[in-house]
Amino acid sequence: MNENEFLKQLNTLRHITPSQHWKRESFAVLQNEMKKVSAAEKPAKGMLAIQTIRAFFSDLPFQIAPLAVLLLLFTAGGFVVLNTSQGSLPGNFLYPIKLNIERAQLAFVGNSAQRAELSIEFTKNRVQELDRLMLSKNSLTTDKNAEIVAQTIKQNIDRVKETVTRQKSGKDFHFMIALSLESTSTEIKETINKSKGILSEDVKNTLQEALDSAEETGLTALIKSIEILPSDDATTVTDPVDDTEQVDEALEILKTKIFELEQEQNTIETRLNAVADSITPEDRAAVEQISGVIDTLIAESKQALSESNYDKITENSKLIRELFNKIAKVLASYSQAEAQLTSETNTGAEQTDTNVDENSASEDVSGENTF
Amino acid sequence: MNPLRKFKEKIFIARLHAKDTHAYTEVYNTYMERIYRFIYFKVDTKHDAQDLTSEVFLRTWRYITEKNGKIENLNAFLYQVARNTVSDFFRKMSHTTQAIKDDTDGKTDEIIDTRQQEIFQRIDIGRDIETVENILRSLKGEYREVIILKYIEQMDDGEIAKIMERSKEAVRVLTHRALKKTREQFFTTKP
Repeated sequence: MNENEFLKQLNTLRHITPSQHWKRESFAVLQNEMKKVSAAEKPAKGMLAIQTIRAFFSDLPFQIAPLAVLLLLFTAGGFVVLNTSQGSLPGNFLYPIKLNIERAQLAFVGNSAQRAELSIEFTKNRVQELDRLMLSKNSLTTDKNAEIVAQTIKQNIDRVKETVTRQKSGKDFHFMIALSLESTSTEIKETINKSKGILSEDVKNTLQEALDSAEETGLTALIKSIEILPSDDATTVTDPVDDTEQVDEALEILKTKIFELEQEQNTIETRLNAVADSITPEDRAAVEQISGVIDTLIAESKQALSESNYDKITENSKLIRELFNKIAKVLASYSQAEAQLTSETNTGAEQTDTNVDENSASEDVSGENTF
Repeated sequence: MNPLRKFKEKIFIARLHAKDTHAYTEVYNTYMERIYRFIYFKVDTKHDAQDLTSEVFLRTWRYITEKNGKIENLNAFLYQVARNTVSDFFRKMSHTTQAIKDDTDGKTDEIIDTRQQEIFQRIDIGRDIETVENILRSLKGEYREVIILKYIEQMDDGEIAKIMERSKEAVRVLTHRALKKTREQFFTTKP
């Protein structure tokens, strides 16, 4: 082996990278740390502009500085607007600029894999915007703007779904997307839980649809990361190092997902008991019947996992999610009715939302059977 | 570094000083793998490398936000934080070792030297000698660093000098010696 080959071999050590799963986990920890600052103090955009100007002038020779001032006067306005728009919310006149910048970023991205990653990143921005909007005191304006944001979230997820469905190859790409969507789903779920009594039914439904789509797409991506062969397609990211480890991680996540469905299934009985006094026998029987179907589907999914029948798992998971939604709607109507009753009994002095089930996505108090 | 790139980096650092989370996310995405690799060759396990890499980015963020710390050169700063984080890690380990070994004075260098000796021994008896990785791990600290930065991360002497807090000339000499040592190890252990 000659010197060049030796140096080449040294350069191959560049392929040493941490696992994708750790990357996501580590970033999630960092994000939590960053959220503390975001909540405590918003980044000083004005200061940023001043520091940028300083940075600009510190590099220029003394004689050119006055000319630079004139140039800056023409361009600085636009620059400040671009920067300030990044922190804007729907309803703010700078918000459309922010969306247009994101659209432009998407348009200039080289390949569909990167576009999907970017779409997920923008989705996370939207979810954070929703959280900030919910802190607003004007509920009417909040709801109108929240609807716009929720629609955008759904559109972004649909874009990712389309890419994942179309993209035939690229294990790493699919694994990365699966992990990103996993954390996005968690964030959307948390936002839905926080939105109780703040956002309208329409907005929550749109968010729920986005969540279902994110979970379905995440699962599809996860399964593709296990099933398909490494790509020779130049548009996909490849990581030759940790392939087996990655497949093992993906299978582990898949098992956890089935386990989570089982956990949710186990809560149905408790939720039924919580509304035992008000639920009609017909609705109770219907919920129990659906619950039985879910049991069967979960058992089938476990079997499918042991047989590596991943299509079956995808199909069953989709069905299970739909059935959970149906149950949630029925139980939510009763738990709302109970909450209202409790509130009236307690002289109506305080808002008693405590009987409302955690997973309630509905504020419909009509008690109408949704089956 | 050309003036435009220098200016862009200054704007970027200004965004960090303004505690811009998006800017810091970019820092994480850009540097995470490089910092991981830098640490990976200094510690024994992947797990330690991952933990310490996370620690580097948390420490840097806290330095910016809690201490309102200022950064001049982002690249050099992150690698310096990585070096300190690894040193702290070995210092903590040395406390544990001190409790067991009465005859050691607890210095980090000794611990590292012991590890290096073990790896050398492994090389001597012919196990795991094929990989460049093992040879790199067996090098003494500064040789290893300069090889990683120069030949794996492909940095120029100026950038390495800032990270290692040495002159460019010193980096060139160090690179030459480190490469010579690595080459010797490689060709003597290679059948």
